[in-house]
Amino acid sequence: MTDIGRPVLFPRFGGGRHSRTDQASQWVAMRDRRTLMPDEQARFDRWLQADSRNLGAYVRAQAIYRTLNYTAPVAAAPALMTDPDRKAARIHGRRRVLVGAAAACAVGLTGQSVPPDQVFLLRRDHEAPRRYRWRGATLTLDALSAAYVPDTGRVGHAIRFLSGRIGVQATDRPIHLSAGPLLMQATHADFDLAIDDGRAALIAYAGTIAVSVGSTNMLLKGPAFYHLPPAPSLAMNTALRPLSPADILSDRAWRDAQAVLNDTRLADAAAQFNRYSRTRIMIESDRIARSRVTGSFDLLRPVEFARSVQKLLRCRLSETGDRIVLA
Amino acid sequence: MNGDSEARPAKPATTVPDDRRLSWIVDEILPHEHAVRKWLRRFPLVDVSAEDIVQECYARLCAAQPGDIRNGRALFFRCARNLVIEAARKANIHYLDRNLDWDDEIADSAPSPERIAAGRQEIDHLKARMLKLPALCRDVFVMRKVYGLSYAQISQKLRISERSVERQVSNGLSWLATHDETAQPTHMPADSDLEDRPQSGRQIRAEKRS
Repeated sequence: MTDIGRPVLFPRFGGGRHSRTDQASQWVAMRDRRTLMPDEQARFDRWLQADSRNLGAYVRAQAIYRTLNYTAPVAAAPALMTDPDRKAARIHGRRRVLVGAAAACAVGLTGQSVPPDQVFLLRRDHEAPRRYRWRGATLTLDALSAAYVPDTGRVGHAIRFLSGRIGVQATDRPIHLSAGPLLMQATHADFDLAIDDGRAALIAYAGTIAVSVGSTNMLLKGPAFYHLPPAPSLAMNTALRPLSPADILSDRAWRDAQAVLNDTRLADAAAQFNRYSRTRIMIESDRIARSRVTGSFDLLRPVEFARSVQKLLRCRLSETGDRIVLA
Repeated sequence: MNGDSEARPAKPATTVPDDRRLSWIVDEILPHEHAVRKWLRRFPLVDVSAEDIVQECYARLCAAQPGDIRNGRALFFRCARNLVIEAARKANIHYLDRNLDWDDEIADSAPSPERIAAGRQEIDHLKARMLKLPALCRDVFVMRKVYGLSYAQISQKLRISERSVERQVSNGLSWLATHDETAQPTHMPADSDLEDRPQSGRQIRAEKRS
């Protein structure tokens, strides 16, 4: 499990007890804990008005504090599976899903009861996806992605997915995953979860994933593609697109840093490559950008891809530093 | 600076922003602070620090109307530049490069995907720093920010007083809010900051007005 580093000793980086940043942080903490008493409020107002930089320091500290928030799922409903689903689960040998779901609810996966002893932040930059082993499962974290992962074997502690894309191959031990208000739990399942612009998508390659948001619960079965709306109207708004074997092959390819393009717009293909490298592919012609490409490529080799495109489309290619320009 | 049709707050606000405005600052301003600080490092500031300018920017941006702003990054940069010019005028300083190494793309372009990604990385970096806080402080932050526990719950879990929890939050936040040069991301996306183009690293010279 990747560890981002050891905690440092606590220096007084704030510039001293009375620095503006220190004072602002104290006010943020006080107001976070409780409502100010009248005399405290008066003192706070005087401090804000004494210097506009005080207000600025306070707002900045407040913004930093808020940006650290992770929006946890709301309290889960008593059951994650309906009666028909339980029968279906028994028929398909998915008892463990039911047991896992019930256990998850019992310990309060919303995180209100027992936080883990330690939490790691897994992050990927413009770089190759990376695989991790966690509680018997294989996690693949995509470029430009991040997740909090608890370092504990205790049942019920969820991976808190922040952004980007994560692939999960769960075995017989239940995996719990939350993404904002969404809460997922699965065993013997293989799926990707992607968050883009606040919208979540679940690509279920195999198995069944129990998903809840608010009081709405669903079982999402693979192979299929699902849109997951943030609001608790899951049953009504979830879109379903079945996945063919070819779809599974191409959709999963990112885990091996591969792009399987099938009549894909060049602009979209270039955007995929730009995710994994600091070398950026720029397309200066709308006509070329709309061209379609098919083939399997290494996402970590954008130059090779660009040269293939150049030969295919007979366009101009120039390389300048970290830019590849197709025109 | 002249002919700027984009709305810009000339005066700082006097009260803390409401929730909507704070959310806007979190989403549209904070991710670009590192880029603004990097740009400010080019200027020999007199009688004012980069920290002063950044804090004053936040105060002025509180007065902005979020619905009227298309590009928070551009507004942040413009605000900082105006403050640099104001400080120079007060100190009777004349910058030899009157444009202050201003790239139109800083002010006028909608944030590119690269800039958006860079901003997101800044936030991720902040979260990573949170996990580098000293043990007790880190535990308080994780419980409060990741797992949403109340002060009472944290106090009970860690067997410290609520006042101590508050103090840990205050100290930790102060550390996170202090711009520490040694804690910068080790990898910066290419093209994340247009300031790093041919002018990159070029210091802006200044002289006292006669």
